[in-house]
Amino acid sequence: MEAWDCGVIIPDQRNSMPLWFQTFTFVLPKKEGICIKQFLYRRFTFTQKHVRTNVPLDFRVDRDLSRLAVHLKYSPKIISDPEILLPQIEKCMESYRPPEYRLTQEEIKKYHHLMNFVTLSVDKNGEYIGCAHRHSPEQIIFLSEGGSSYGFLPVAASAGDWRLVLHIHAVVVGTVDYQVAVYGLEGGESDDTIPAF
Amino acid sequence: MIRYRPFELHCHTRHSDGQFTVKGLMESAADYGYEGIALTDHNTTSALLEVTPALERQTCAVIPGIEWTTFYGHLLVLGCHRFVDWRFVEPDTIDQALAEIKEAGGATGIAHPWEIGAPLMCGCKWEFHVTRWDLVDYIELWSNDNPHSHSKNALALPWYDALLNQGYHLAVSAGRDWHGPDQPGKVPLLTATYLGIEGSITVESALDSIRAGRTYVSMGPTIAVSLQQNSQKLGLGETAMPGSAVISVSVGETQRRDIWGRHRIHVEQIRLVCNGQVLDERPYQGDAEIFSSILTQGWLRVELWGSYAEVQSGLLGLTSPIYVEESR
Repeated sequence: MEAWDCGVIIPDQRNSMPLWFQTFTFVLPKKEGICIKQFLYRRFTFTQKHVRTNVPLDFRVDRDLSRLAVHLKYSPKIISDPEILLPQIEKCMESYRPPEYRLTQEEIKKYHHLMNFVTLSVDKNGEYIGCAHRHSPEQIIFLSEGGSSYGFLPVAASAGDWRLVLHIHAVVVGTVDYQVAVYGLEGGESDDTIPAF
Repeated sequence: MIRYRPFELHCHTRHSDGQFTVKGLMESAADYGYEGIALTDHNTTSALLEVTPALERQTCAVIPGIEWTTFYGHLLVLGCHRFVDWRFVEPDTIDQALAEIKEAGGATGIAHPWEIGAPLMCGCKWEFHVTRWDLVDYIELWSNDNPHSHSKNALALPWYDALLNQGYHLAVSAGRDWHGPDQPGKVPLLTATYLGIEGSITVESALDSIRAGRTYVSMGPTIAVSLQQNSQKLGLGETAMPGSAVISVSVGETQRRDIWGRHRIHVEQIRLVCNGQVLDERPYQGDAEIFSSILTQGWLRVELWGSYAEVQSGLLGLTSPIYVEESR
C-alpha cells in the first residue's frame, strides 16, 4: 500500500479501516425504492512527489448489472496565486527553453492560473476500456454495453475483475484531495442517484 | 501511380478533451479541403466507433489512431490492429513500447517534441530515451496552426535535422492538434501533411505512405519532387546513391487555394537542403525548377520559402528527405 493512501473507505469510519480493505461492497440506501451498490471508494492526498505515477485500484463486481458509474472528484483544480505561479513558470522556462526562446516577465505575468490534473482509465478482466482525459475536476462516467461515456468503449457491466488506474499528471503545489467511487446500477435509476461526495 | 493528398494528422474530439463531435470534426476537415484525418484522441479509441463508411464518403477518410498522452511525451500511434498499453511506459522502456506498436501493425510519430513541459504543459515535451529510432516513423515538425508563431516548432527543426544527420530515416508531419471548431468565417493559417498515396485512400495506403517517408508539410502550395539518377527516378523517402543527380521541383498553387490563399502566401524561393546545409536555391518563377546537383552521403530535402500574412520571408513547406547512401 502506498504511503500516501489515506485508507478512507466510509466517511464515518475515516482512519479506522484497514488499508488493505479496498475492494468491498455495501448497499447505499438512496431515494425511496432505489438501491445502488458501491464497489469501491477511495480517497487520496496527492502531493508533488506523486506526479508522474499511476495508482491502480482493483475491484471485483460480483453480479451482472445494467451500468457501472465511476464518480471522481478532486480539488483544488486551479491554482491562481501569482506568488506560486510566477516562480514555477520561470523555472519551467529555464528547464525547457534556451534563453532566446523564453517568455519575458511581461508574458509570464499574462498567465493567470495553472491546473492540477489527474486522469483515470478503466480495464475489465484485463481489457482496456478507455480513459477520461479531460480537465473537469468532477466527473461521473457511465459504463454499459449499450454505450459508455465519452472516452470509453461500450462494455457489459457484468461480473468480473475490474480496475481503475489514476494517472497523476500535475500537482502544482501543496496537496490534491482526490476521491473516487464505483457504483453498480441495476437499471431504472436516474443519473442523479449517484451520491455526492 | 502515387498522388500526394492533404491530411490533418492530429485531431481530438469529445472522447478526450476536444469540443468536436466526431461528425463535426470530419465535416470541418472536409470544409478545409483535407481528404483525410488521423483521429488521435488522448488515450482512447472510442471515437472511432462513430466513424462509418457513409460518413467517410460524405466527408473525409479517417486513419484510426490514438495519442499516447504519457508523463514523458506524446506519441501519435496510427493503425494498430490491437490495443497497446500506453500507461506504464517509462523513459527507458520506450523502445519496447515502440516495438510492440510496430508488432501490432501501427505507425508512430512524435507529437510536438519541443512543447514546453510541466507545469505549463505537463508531459507534452518529448523526454523519452529512444535508442531504436528505426521504430519511429515520423516527427510532427509543425504543431498547431500558424506554425511559425510557436517556439516549439523553431526548436523542433534543428533537432530533427540532427537526427537525420545521424542517419535515421524519419518522415515529417504537421498536426494542428485540433480540438474544436473555428469561429464561423475565420480560417486560421492552416497546415497540411501531404501523403504520397498509391491508388485510392485507405488506412493501409495512408500508413504505407507514412512508413515509406512519402510526406511533405505545407502552409498551402503543393510540392512535387523527383530525382533522376542514372536510369532511375526516385521520390521522397527513397534512397539515391552519392554522385550526380537531377532534381525536378514543381510547385502547385491551385489545390485548397480557397483556404490558404486568403493568407497572402507567395512562394518566392525553392531550396535544396542537404544534411542541414543549403545545397542550392533558386527564385520561384512559376515553372518547374531543375537542379543538377552532386549528392553527398546523407539526406536531401526541398523547402519552399516566401511571404505570408505580414511576414516577409518564412518557410512555407518542406519535404521528407530523399536519402543518399552508398548501399541501398
